[in-house]
Amino acid sequence: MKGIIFNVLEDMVVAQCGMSVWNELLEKHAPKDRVYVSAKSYAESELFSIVQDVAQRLNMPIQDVVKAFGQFLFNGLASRHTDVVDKFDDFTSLVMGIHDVIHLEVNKLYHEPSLPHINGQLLPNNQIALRYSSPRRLCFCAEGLLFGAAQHFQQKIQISHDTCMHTGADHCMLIIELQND
Amino acid sequence: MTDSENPYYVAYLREKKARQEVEQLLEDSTRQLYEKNVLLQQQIDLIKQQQQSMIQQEKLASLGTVAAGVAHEINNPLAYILSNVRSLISYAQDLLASMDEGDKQQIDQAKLQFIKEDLPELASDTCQGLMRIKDIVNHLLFFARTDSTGKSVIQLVDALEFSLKLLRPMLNNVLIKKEISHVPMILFNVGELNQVLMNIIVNAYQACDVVSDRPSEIRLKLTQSDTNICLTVVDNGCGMDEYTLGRMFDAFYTTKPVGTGTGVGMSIVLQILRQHDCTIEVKSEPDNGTEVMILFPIDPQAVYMTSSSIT
Repeated sequence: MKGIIFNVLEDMVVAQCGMSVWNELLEKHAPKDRVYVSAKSYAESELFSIVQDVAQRLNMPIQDVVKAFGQFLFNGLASRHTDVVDKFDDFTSLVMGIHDVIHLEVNKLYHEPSLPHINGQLLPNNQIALRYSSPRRLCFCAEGLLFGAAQHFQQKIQISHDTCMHTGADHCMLIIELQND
Repeated sequence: MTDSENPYYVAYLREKKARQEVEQLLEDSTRQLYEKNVLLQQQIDLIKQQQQSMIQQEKLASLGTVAAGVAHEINNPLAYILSNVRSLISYAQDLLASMDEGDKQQIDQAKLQFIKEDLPELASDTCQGLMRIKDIVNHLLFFARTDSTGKSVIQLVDALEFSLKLLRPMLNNVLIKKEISHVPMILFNVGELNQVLMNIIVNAYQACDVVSDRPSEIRLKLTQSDTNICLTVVDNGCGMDEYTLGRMFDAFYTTKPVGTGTGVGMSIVLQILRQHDCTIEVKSEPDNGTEVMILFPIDPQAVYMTSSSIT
C-alpha cells in the first residue's frame, strides 16, 4: 500500500479524533518510528489494523469506516493532484476515465502501485456499471471514492452493490445511478 | 486545550504542509521523468525499426549479388544445353523423316553417320549441363536459406567455394589465391555462414576495386590449430586508417559512397560470429590492403559428424 494512502488516513484521523489518537494508533499497529512517505510502499496490514481500530473506537461497522475513508481519500488525492481531476468535465467522464486516465497517471508516479482492475460501462437510464476486482477487496473504499468524486462534481448518486467479493463473488459490480435534482 | 490551540499541532500542520510540498516536487519530477522515458522509448523503437529496415536492405543487396552469381553460373550450361537440344530436335526430325515410309526422300548416309557420332556426345553434354544446374540450385538452397535458425554441420571449404562461385562474375578481374588445408567440419547456421563469407569477400573485392595502380588480388587461407579453424582473407586493396578500422564494426558506419553501402554488413558479420562463439581480427593499413582473420572453434561433436547434405 502506497504511503500516500496512509498520509490521507492520518489527515482523516487527526481531523476527526486528534493528533494523540493517530500517535496511539501508530504505536499500536505500526513498527517503531514508522513514517509514511507518499511514494513508498508499506504493508497493507498496517492500514487494515489502523482502520479496524478506528471502527472500534467510533463503534461503527468497519465497512462504513472504509467507505468514509474512501470519500475522504478522494478529497485528499484530488487536492494533491488537481491537474488530474481538472482533466474531467463531470463525474461520468471521471468514472469512465479511471482505467485509461487516472490509473495511467498513478503509474507515472508510483512504481508497482498494485491498482485494482476497474472497468466502467455506461448503461441506459443514467446508470454506470463499474466492475471492480482486487485481491485487497477494498470495494467499500471504491464506493467511498465514488461518493467523494460525486461530491466534488456536485452530482447526486446512489450506488447498489449487490455482487460483492465479500460475499463470494470473484468481482464486485457497482451500479451507480446518477440522480437529477 | 484543543488541537487547534496547541502550538505543537500548529507546528505539526506546518511541517506536514512542508513535507507535502516536497513530495509534490518529487512527484512532478517523477512525472516528467516518466514522460521523457516514454518519449525515449518511442525514439528507441523508431531507431530499431530503421535498423531493421537497413538490415533488410543489406539482405536484399546480398540477395542481388547472389542472384547475379547464380544467373551467371546457370547461364553457361544453359547456353550449350539449349544449343544441344536444338541440334537434337533437328536430328530427331531427320531420323523420323527417314523412318516415315510415305516419305520418298531418304536421309543422306553421311548425315546419318554424323548424327550417329554426334548424338551420344550431345546427350552426354546436355546431361552434364543439367547436372551442373541441379548442383548449383542445390548449393543455393543449402547456403542461401534464411528460414533456418538452427546450426548444421558444414564443411567450411564447401561454403567458401560456393561463395566464390556465386561471386565469380564480380571477381572476374581479381586473382584469387587459395591455400586450403583439410579442416574439420564446423557447427554453423548455413545461411548466416554464407552471409559472413559473402560480406567479407565482397568487402575485399571493393577494397581492391578502388585501387588502379596494381592488379587486384585476394588470398584465402584455411588452416587449423588445436582449438580453432582459421580462415584468413587478405586483399591488396586500399586498406583502412586507424579510425576506420576502429569503427568498421559499428552499425551504419561506412566509407562507401552514398547509395552503395548500408554500413551494417560488418556489424551483422560480428553479431553472427559472436553468436557462434567465433572471433574476428582485422589488420589493415592505408594503401596496404587488409587482412581479416576469423577463428571458428573446433566443435568435438561436429568433427565426428557427417556434413549436412548439399547435393
